[in-house]
This record gives sequence, structure tokens and C-alpha cells, in this order.
Amino acid sequence: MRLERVVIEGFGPLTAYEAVFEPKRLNLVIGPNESGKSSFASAVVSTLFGFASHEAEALARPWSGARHAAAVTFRAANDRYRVSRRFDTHDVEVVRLGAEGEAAVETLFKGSANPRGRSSELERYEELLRGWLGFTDERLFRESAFVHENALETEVSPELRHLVSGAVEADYQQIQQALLARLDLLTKEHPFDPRSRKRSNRSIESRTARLEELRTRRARAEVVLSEVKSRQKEREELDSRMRELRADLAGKEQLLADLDVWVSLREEQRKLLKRAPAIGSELVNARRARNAMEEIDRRISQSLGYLANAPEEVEPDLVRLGMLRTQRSRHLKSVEVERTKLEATRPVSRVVTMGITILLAALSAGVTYGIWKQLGLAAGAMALGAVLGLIISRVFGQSTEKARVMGEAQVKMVEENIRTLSQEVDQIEIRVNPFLAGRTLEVVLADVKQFRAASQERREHAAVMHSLPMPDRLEAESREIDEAVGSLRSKEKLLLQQSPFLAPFKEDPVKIAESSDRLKRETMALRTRLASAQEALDGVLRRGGPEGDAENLESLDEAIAGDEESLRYEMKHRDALLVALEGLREAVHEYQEQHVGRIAEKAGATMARITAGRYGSVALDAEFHATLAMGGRGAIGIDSLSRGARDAFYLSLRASLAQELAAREPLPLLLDDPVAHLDEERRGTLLAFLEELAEEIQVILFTHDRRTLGQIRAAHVVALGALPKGAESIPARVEVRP
Amino acid sequence: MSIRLLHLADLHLGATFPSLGERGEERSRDFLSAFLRAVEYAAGEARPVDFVVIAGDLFDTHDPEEGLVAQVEAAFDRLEKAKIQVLIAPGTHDAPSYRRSVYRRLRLSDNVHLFLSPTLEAGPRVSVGGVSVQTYGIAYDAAVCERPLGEFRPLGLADYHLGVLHAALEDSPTWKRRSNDLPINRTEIAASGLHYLALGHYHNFSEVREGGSVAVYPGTLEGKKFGEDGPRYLVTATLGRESISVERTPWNQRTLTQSLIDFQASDLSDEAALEQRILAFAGDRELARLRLEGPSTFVFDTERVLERLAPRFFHLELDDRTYVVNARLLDKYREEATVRGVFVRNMLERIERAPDETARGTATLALRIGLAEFQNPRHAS
Repeated sequence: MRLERVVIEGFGPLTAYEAVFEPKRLNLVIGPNESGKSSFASAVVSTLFGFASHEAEALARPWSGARHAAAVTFRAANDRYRVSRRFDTHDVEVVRLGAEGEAAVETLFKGSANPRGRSSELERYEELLRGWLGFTDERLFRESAFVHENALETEVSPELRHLVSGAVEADYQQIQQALLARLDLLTKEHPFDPRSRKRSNRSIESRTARLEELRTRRARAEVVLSEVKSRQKEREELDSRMRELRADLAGKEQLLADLDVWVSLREEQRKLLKRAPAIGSELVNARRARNAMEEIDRRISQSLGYLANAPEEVEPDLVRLGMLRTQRSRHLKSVEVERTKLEATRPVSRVVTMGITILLAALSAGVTYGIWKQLGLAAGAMALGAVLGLIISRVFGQSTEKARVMGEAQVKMVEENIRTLSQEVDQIEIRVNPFLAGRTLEVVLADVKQFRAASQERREHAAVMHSLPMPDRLEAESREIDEAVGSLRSKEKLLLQQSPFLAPFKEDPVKIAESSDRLKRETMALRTRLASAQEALDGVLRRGGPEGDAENLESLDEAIAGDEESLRYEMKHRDALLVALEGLREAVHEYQEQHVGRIAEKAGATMARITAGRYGSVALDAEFHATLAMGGRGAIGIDSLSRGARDAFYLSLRASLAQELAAREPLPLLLDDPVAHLDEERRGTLLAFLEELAEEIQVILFTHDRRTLGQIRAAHVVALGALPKGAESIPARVEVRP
Repeated sequence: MSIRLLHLADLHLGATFPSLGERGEERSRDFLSAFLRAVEYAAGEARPVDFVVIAGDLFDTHDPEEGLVAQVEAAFDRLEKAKIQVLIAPGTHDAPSYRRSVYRRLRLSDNVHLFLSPTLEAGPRVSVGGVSVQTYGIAYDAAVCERPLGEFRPLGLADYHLGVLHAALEDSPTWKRRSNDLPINRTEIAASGLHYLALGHYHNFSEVREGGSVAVYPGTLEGKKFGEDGPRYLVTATLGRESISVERTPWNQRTLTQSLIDFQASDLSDEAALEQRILAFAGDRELARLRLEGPSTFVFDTERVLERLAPRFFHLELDDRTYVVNARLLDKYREEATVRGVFVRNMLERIERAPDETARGTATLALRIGLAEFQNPRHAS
């Protein structure tokens, strides 16, 4: 396949762009970065194959709003074709062209060819692709026809293995490893190499072993089961013996239980009957207390009823009232006395004073005269007596006045006291008036005391009553006891009727205890016999499983069925993996036989021609490690080549691989700027090589590096965007089309 | 004049689920929870039932662990407090004939009657609100396996005769009977004279009415294995003068689903579409087994899909039976001058040459696995 013309209506950044290529010369697509070189290459692939995903399609929509469409004209075998595609509708038209020009001779296909769908139209279109290329896988075209920017620096053998595997995610070696890893989970066996057999069991071996064990266990369980069946008679005998023993045991246990019930019935009766006298005396006490209380209540209601609602303070009030009244009467009495006294104390009158004076003067004069019988003396004494009489009556008159004033003050004070007392008496009297109501204070006080005493007594009786159940409750309890005893007696009677053997022990606790012991011993013995019978039965039932127990056939069957199903699944996958691994190995082998020799041969021929016979031939081993034969020096590895020679070698290998993969006709080699990072010398060597290679296979070199222009000898240049500076210095033999 | 009974069977308490991996224990707990909820229902204040009947396989094994046994005992105590009579007939999984049988140590309250005879025997005659019920039951014993209804005749007069059996109905076309099952058939049911046969053993609900007798398999309360799909029911029966009615209440907490994704009938174009299709069944209560069938137009890796989608289910199984016959896809590769091209060519040849169906299946699967690995994006990283 050789590309002749690419017409882009709209594709990413490219609008109304046309490029023409030469089939047998180096085509150089030159444009600055971001000028759309990648979009241009992508447009070629997408026109032929369509978009494999919505995302890719969306990314390539024209920025300008132009129609999303492109057409590619190419030569395949001896015919020229044009494929036009509208990306938005997936409409594709394929026409065969005449030997020259763009005139259609025949329309080969017109319809929808969306690789994301399924249709007969698409199948027809893919048939055409297969005819031109030998394959229909877009990815294979993209990866084999394209040589990427940094491809020269990649390792050759993995890259080649990847390409020959079908340009897939992994090369065939990795795929084989992945299949082996999956197989390894299933089995320890190795398909190719018995020495790689693993030591430990994998799923299939473990499952097989487990199944074998399960089947053995099942077989054993079946054997034992048939044995058990054959010992059915023995088993039945044991069963019936056990039934008898159980019945016997049940009888004995019933008797023992009856005995227990009977003993407990009697015990309950005894307890109940013991309680009866206590209830009687409690009843007497309760009744007595109630009577006493009733008597007190009667008494109170008869004579002391008026105090029933008296507050606690009445008593102190009454006592104080008595006291206050006594005090008041005492004070009244003393006032009376004082007043009397006061009235008696009169002021000394002048007459008295005169009298006393005269008396004393006369007395003194008389006495003096009597003694001395002198009138002068008697007159002097009389004067003296008069003066003395005046002094005495004065002094006496003063003290009497004092006593009178004091007496009056005292009377006032006492009267004040009496008023205060009277006020308090009035207050208290108001409070206690309802209880006095015509009674004397002493009577009421005595009543209050009596009332207190009666209340206290009543409280005491009430406490006694509260400590005892209410008499009617006691009476009810007494009735209940009578009834319970009655029912116990009737139960006992019934029990004695049912178990007549109890009768002899009726009144003899020793006999009861002996009988109970005997029964216990007998039941114990029966239990031992039952246990040994059970053991014998177990012996018959024992079927040699784990812990001597039988195995459940149904569970075993289910386990076996589950494992068998899983094993079938795993073995099917193991077999398929083995077949796939074998098929892959055969495919690799076959591929190497059919193709690798040819690839090496072609690459060798290219190398020999380009290097003027310096490198004679190329050999590729099973893992695509390449060696070159150099005249006289034997095989040398590519690592020992110069970098220029290594680039040339890589590209010649890629070119021959592109020819081989295309099967029908060599694909063009589209190189995405592999020279960008090379130094000038290496770039020169590479460009020279590409010019040579272009004679065998169409080469389209995309580059942004204008220095390339200066280094090429003969090329067809396609400018993408504005021509770079320096384009004017392109040698004349380089044909430039804008 | 009617009595109501809760009919349980095949509870399989203590069952283990190794195929569910770490989810197995949770599933075990689902089974216990379903039983305990049923007991709570029966012991409810409204007194919805008079009897609880357990027709075998209460436990998944004859020797379950102690903790479980204690929980079951507590459940029976709960029923005793509610004064509900319980009848238990051991089944094939918990047969009492083992030395270490749980029924030798299970502490039974007074309200529980355990049938231990390997032949159908009369149990207690119970009176509920003036209605008398004569009970009968049988304990499964692998060594006996005689026809339990063969010679059976009901005993004396009672309003109702109720039988509890873990037995296999012979003439059912859908169920596989094993040689060690207790066999019964429709004729025997009709002639049994039993008003209600509370059956257990088959794990899906089924009701048989023959000659005045009603025989019911209630099925499991939680699906134990695939085939026990969809809703599981709590079954209650009302035995009335006129008729016997059976009611079902959905009871399961998780659902088993088996479904088919047919590539022929559907428009699946890639792995992502397939995943979306599978996710339609997703849910943390779902245990799904999906069978992929028909021709696939694209290559996908079942293991990869399973790994990605399993967390969206309680449990997911994919049974991949698809085959790549899509001519376009294979044609796309077979002509290639690549290892893939040769591989596809060789495998297609191998499929064609295959001597039998098995070999063809293996080769088809090999082609699928191989192609899926060629396209495994895991390798790209």
C-alpha cells in the first residue's frame, strides 16, 4: 500500500487540507509543533478504519466547525482507490480510480462502516480492507505502520515480539506466562517441562485427594450401614429390652415420686396444723385490743368529746391562764393593802408640830425647873425644848412624806402589772374559751389530762392490733388452713388409693425412709442396666467413622457432589489452558518458521544494500534477539554496532516487519519525528538511510525540525502550516508542495 | 373448631458453606436467624399458632456445636413460656441413631415432644381449646428405611390426626430420590387417614392433596444451594372442620437466583455491556449463579469480570458456556500474519477436528481463554 493523496475537510486542528505523497521517494511532512502532524497521521488511520471509541471520535472533531470528513487515495496491488469517510455519519465511500487522476472508475462500497457496530455493510467494508492490507485490526495497522518518536531507543526484541503477537497488550511470552500462572493455580503439573512440576498440591490435586477420601468414607459408611441392617434383629432385641427397662424404671421412679409427694403432703399438713393454735391466740389478742380501744373511744365520746378537736397548746394555755389569774389576784390584794397603808400615812399638821413644840418646850422647862428651879434656866430650856420640838416635828414630817410617795409609786407599778396580766389573760381566754364554755379551769385541766392518758392508752392498744393481722384476715387464714388441710387429706387419700403400697407406712417415718432408700437403690440399678443396654446398642450402631460414630451418607453425598462439580469445572479449565498453551506454542513456532526467516532475510538484504555489503545477513532467534553477520567476522550482536548502524538496523527490521505483517503488500512506514533528538551526524546517517529505504517501501517522515531540510538529498516535502524558515534553502531536487 | 400449626423443616442449623468463602459464616447465621425469627413469630402475643412442627433436619449434622444447641434450647424455652406444643421428627442430616447425636443431649422443655422411633409411632394427644389432635412421628434411621406409611393406621378417635415425617415422595418427577430415603407415595398418603402430613426433606415448597389428606413440604427458610431459588416461605396450616388451608409468608433474608444471559438474544457488544447486564442482578442480599450462553461477539475473561463484580453481590458465580463463533471477530484475526493470527487459525482448526463434543468444548474454551489473555489490559500496565 502506498498513499498518494490525503484530503481533510475537517479533523482536529486541520481544515481544508490536502497533501500529496510520492510512492517511491522519501516524503517529508514538515510543520512546527502543534501544527497538526499527529492529527494528520491519525486522520489517515481513522479514514481507513473509523473510530474504535466515542472518546477518540469526539477528540478528533474539527475545531473550525468544518465537516468532520476526510479522504485517502492510495495504491494497493496494481489498482488505485479512494476511501472517503464522514466521521459523524460513518458513511464511507470506496471507489476504484483509473491509472491517473481522481476520476472514479467503479464504486466498490457505499454505506455505513462504524467499527463500533455490527452490520453486513461493515463486514463488506472489512472484506475490502482485508484485500488491501491482509488484516482489519486498526490497532495492528497503527502499531506496525507507525514508528514512534522514541522507537529508536527502545529494545528491539520485546518490540518485535509485541508486534508479531498482533500489536496487543502483551507479547506472546507474557501471554504464555499468564496462562501458566492460571494453570499453576489449578494443578502442580507443568505442560512442557516435567522438571517444573511443583512440589505442593494445587486445587485439582487437593480436591481429587479429598474426593478420594470422601468416596472411601462413603464406601465404608455404606458397608457399615449394611452391617447394621444385617444386625437388625439384635438391635430390635436390644431395643425391646431397653423399652422394658425404661418402663420398669419409669414405674419405680413414679413410686419414688409418689412417696416424695406423700411425704411432702404430710409435711405440709403438719406445718399448717402447727400454725392453727398460733392463729387462735393472735386472734384473742387482736380482739382484746380492739375491745379496749372501743371502750376508750366510748369513754372519750361520752365525757371528753369536747376535747377531741383541742389543739396541743390547750393544755399549756390552761395552765398558764391559771397561773396568770392567781398572779393577778395576788397583785390586786397587794394594791389594796398599799392603798390602805397610804391612806393611813397623813402629813404632820401644824397643830401637831405646834403641840410637839409646846409639849417639848413645856416638858423641858418643867424638867429644868424641876431640877434646877431656876426660871431662867427653865426659860432657856423651854426655848431649847421648843427648838428641839420644832426640829423633831420637821424631821418626822419629812420622813412621813417620803414613805407616802414611795407607797404611791409601788401601787402604780402593781397596777401596771395587773393590766399586762389582764391583757394576756384576755388573749388566752379568747383561745380557750370554746373549751371552757362554762367549766372551771380546774375541771377542764383535769379533763385534758384524762384525755391525754386515754389517747396514750388507745395508741398502745392500736399498736398491739397493728402487730397482728386483722382478725377477719386471721379468720380467713384459719379457714384457708382448714380447707388446705382438707384438700391435702383428700389428695393423700387419693394417692393412697393409687399407690396402695404407701398404706403400711402411714404413720411410720422410719419405714418411709427405708422404703425410699430401697427404691432409690433399685432405680440406680435399673439405670446401670439401661446404660449397659444402650452401650450394647451403640456397639451395634457403631460404624467406624470418626470417634467410632457413623457418618451421614447424605452429608457425604452432598460434599462429594459439590467437590465433583468444582473438580469438573477446574479440570475443564485446566484442559482448556493446556490446549491454549499448546496452541500458543505451536503458533509461535509456526510463526517463526513461516515469517521470522523472511523478516530476517528482508532486513538483511536492506542492510546489505544500504551499507554497501558491509553487513551481509541478519538472523533472529526464537525470542527475536537479532544478530548480524559481518563479512568475515561472523555473527555480531546489535549492541556492538554503532548507533547510526543500529538505527538503520532497527528501521530495516521494522520495514521488513511492516511488509510481512501486511501479508499482501508492504505498508507505508510513517515515522513520527524519530530524528528530533539525534545529533547532526546521526540524523544525517538516518536520513540517508531513509532515502534509500524509500525506494523499497513508502516512507513518510513527520518532523518539526527544519534542519532536516538541509540534510536531505532527495525528498518530497509536504508543508503543514507555514513553511519553516530555511525552506528557501531546500535544494532544487527537493520538490516542495505547500 | 380449628387449630393452627407452624410447619418447619430442613432448617439445617449449623450448616457450613465452604463455597461462599469468608461469607460462609454469615450465611450460617442467616439460617439461625430465620429459625429464631420463626420462633419469635410463633411465640408472639397474638398466639398465631397452637403447634410448632419440625419435620426433620433441624440441625445440619447429628453433632452440632454446643453454642448452637444452647440457642435452640433457649428458643424452645421461649415456646414453652408461650405454651406452644412443639413436635420434632429427626431427619436424614440429624438422625438420632448416632452415639453423639444431639438429641441425646438436647435439653427439652416439657412442651417439646421428640419422636425417636424408627417406625411411625403415636405421640402425645394434645387438646387445644376443646379440639383434640393425635400426633404421630418417626425418626429417620438410615438402617431401617422401611415404608413409614405402609402398615400405618391412625389410633382411636381424635378431631385431627397429624403426622410428622422426614420422607421422600416417590412419584415426583422433579426430585431425585436416594436409596436411603424414607419412601412414601400418593396412594399411601391418600390411605393414611392422617389429616395433615408435615413433611420435610425436599427443600422447595410443595403441597399434595390426596383423598382428604394434605401433605406439605414447606421447603427451606433460606436457600441452601442453587435450585432453592427465589422466595422461601414460612408455612402455617389451619386444620378446620371444612377444609385444611396452607398459608405462606416470604421469610428469607437473602435470595438465591439462577439466571441465563443469552448472548444470542441480547445485544451485548463488549465486556462493559456484559458487566452492566450482570449488575442488573446485583445486591448485597443476592446470591446469583448466572449462566452465560450463546455466541459472543467479543472476547471477555470470566475470571476478570467475576473479580470485578463479586463485591457487588453477596455471592456471584458465573457459569460461562459462551462460544466465540462470531465470524467477524475471528475473521479479523485469522488472516493476520501475527502470532495471534496463527493461534486463532490453529484453534479453529482444532475445534473443527475435534472428535467429540467435549474436545470441541475444551478447544473453544481454550480459544476464548487464549484470546482473552491476548487482550488482557492487565498486561499493558
